[in-house]
Amino acid sequence: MSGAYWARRLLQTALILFIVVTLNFFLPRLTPGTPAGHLYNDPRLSPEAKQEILAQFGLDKPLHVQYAVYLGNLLRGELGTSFSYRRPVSEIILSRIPWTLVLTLSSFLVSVALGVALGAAAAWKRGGHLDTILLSASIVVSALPSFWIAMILTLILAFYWPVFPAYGMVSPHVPVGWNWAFIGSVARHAFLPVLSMCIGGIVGYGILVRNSMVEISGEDFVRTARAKGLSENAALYRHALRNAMLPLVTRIGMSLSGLVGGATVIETIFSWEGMGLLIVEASRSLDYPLMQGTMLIMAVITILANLCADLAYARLDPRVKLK
Amino acid sequence: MREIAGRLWRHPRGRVGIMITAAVIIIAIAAPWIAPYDPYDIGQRGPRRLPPGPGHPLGTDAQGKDILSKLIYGARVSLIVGITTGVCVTVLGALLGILAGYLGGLADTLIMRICDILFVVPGLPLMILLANYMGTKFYMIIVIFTMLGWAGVARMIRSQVLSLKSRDFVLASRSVGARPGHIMREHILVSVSPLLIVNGVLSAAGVMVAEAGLSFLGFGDPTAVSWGKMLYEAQSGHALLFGAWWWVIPPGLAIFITVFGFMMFGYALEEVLNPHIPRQSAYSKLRKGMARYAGIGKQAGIGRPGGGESVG
Amino acid sequence: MDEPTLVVEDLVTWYLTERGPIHAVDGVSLAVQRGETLALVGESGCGKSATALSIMRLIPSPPGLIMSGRVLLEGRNLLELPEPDMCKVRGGDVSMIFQEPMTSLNPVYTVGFQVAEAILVHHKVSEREADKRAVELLDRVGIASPARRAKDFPHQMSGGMRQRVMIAMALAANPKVLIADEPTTALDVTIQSQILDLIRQLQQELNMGVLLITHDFGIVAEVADRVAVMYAGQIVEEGSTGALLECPTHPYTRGLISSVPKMDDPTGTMLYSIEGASPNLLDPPIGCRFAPRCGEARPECRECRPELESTGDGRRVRCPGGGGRI
Repeated sequence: MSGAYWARRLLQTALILFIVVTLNFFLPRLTPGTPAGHLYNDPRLSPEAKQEILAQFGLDKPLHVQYAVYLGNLLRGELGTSFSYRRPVSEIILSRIPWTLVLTLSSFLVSVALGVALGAAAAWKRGGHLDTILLSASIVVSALPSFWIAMILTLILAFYWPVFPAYGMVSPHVPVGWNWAFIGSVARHAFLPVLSMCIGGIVGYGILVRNSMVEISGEDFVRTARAKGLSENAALYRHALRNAMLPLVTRIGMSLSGLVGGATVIETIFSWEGMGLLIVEASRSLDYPLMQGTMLIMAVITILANLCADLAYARLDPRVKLK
Repeated sequence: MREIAGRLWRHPRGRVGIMITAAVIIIAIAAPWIAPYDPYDIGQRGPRRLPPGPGHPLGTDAQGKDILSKLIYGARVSLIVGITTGVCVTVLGALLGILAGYLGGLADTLIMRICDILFVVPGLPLMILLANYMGTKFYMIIVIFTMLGWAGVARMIRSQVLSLKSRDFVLASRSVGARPGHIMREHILVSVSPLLIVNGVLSAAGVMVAEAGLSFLGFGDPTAVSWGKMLYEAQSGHALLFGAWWWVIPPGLAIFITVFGFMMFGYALEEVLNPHIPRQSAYSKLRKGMARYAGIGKQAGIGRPGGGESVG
Repeated sequence: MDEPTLVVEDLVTWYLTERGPIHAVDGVSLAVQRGETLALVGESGCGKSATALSIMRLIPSPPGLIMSGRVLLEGRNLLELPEPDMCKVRGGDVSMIFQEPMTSLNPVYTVGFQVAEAILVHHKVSEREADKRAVELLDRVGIASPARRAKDFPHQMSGGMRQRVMIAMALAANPKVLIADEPTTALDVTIQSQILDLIRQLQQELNMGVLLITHDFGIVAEVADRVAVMYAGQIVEEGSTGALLECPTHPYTRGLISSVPKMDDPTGTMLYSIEGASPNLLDPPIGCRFAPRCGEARPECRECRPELESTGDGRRVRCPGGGGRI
């Protein structure tokens, strides 16, 4: 892998980051009402109080100065202060990310593991029962909104047969910390959200693996492997699967960006206090610093995830010529 | 055209897709005549939070509006937003994709960089932010979806165009002196149009789900009756805690059936417009046929198929 | 003369389609001796590759199915072997190399790995030993700097080198028979003769039987000891190369040979081509399959299916008219 390629890539990434950062700065300022709009427009405030609010959020200075301050703050990891929480945005984000990761990482791991197994098994006997079921399931599942699945599951498993809790992350009165009671409680609460997210994921990955396995099984080199005397199993797993992994890695790379933002709707349903719910709450309360901070973090994570995915792909596929 | 319609009808999935899609469209258009009540009319409210019963087959919501009527009227929002966005996204994506692919150079770089940015930023949060900034009237929703959705289409079209660009018929056209605009319209566009049509239908389906999601989070059009909004009201009305399945199941089912119908229609279109893709049903039939023929082979002394049972 | 190593008797293979079965291989019989090269010639779609794949039991299924016949390797019927035993035969007693070396090698594994894999399937040796032998094999097929090249990936090699790698893989276990399916068609003309020489040389070293599938009579003349001509799923003529080329009997064979432009044809000679097109194998004609295109066809040719008859001196022809003689 040549250094020149990575230098170019990093430059591109930096450029995209810069554009995102700048857009993030300008968007709230383009709409009517200043970014502190709803605070500012309270008619009970005296002009001096209003000035003070502006000064507090640095909004009384000219635009380019604000921009410079914004950039400077970013470089220091300072994302501003939330209007509604009155706490630093970065602190809020840091406290919320782990909860989102609990959901997204669990569902990601389960989806990939089960999906790959399912897809490989379906491709094994193309046109057989499992294959047909998988194909039908993929169409059905992609037409089902995931939040509706979540609601149905909640109805069934939390209301009619109250096996799992319907919302929340942890039962009350459970001491927070690394103890079994806490972990067990979180796990119970996480079951329904993760299940809702997994259904689509398993089928999605299953179809992807199945399709690429079917395509690759027809490739000449699989035939060569059999001609050498390899059994069907060996040919499929050693030769076909290895190649079928490549589109899988690409897709995984694309879903990595969803690790932080992908559980928005699920979190809303289950009152799961993660990043997704944070964005929804921030948007509803027009808490601009929080909205901006969250967007930025999500974008940065996505960009980094893409970079990692490209790295992984380049290592797996020797044909990738990095100019 | 008529031939394509005929083939679609004979296609098992196509028939299902056409019937469902047509049914939903008819319901949406005929809403004022088939719905028992008008959810937009404040005067036609009944008792609140009724479970299903006489007069209100699906019960009423928190404001006394009849759920069944809301369900019927909700089709309008989903269809309008879905189909309009599907068309806009496809048109915009095709335009930019063809320009980027055919013209190359600065246009290509510019358009692709914008695509990169759009892919990088997580979708739903961005939609929420934009909805905040731009308002949530349903035509704004259409604009927002279009703004975010064209990138995928553009990328796909662009790679098609890149491979078409070097094909002989394009080179032949250029050598005769055809102008780029002419080539892009007459040759490239014509070649990718099956792809575009299929993509449009499937995009519409995807948008309907996305619109439902946005409304569900409370960022949809507050004045409109939509299925997503019905689910939002179910959620905020704690339907799950009270077991009010009639608030939860009907709208979701409606979304599912409509999207399913569109997707069936889209996939069938794809197979009809591109007959080169081997049909999945063919393989199942072949497997069954194999068993029958292998029986003949057994009689002749050979029990075994060729050896590559499932490979290839 | 010893018993032939590989004997195919009345092989019938079908490809099932939505519209019915395609009779790709319709009663083919042939024999390959050790140390001898049999060329199987015919136009595209005549069933030569299908025959080879049937011998190896590599027909993709669905949609293919071997319906009847026997394939005897030193007396054992390969078509009746259980799959694990057939795996031992593949690459061990009978090896096959294919037409497209680029797509026939796995792009994500090194060349050395793929050759070593062939060794490991048939010999119980350590991985290190297999790697060592792989390098020796690469050397034997004429690849320079074999130790270094073993670490290359297929896309880093030229077409000719890739085909050499394929040959190395095929020889890993000293097979008794090598089936080569158009091994040089995808290569440059200059490389073609190198590969053919290599095959010839290795055949002599290992006393292998070679079944060479080709559509090029030039190659046949250069390397083959015996020739079998296939048309529409059947063998229509068979004999030793010299005799057949000098005095072809079946009208199709004669047509094929006439189609090859010769160096000493006078300038301005029109290129000869056989009229018509090959028959639809979904529903083959009842009588002789070549009859529609045959200039010498007689009424009885179309009525009943002609059999492959011996004409003495090792020649067999499928032509009721006995074929005319030029």
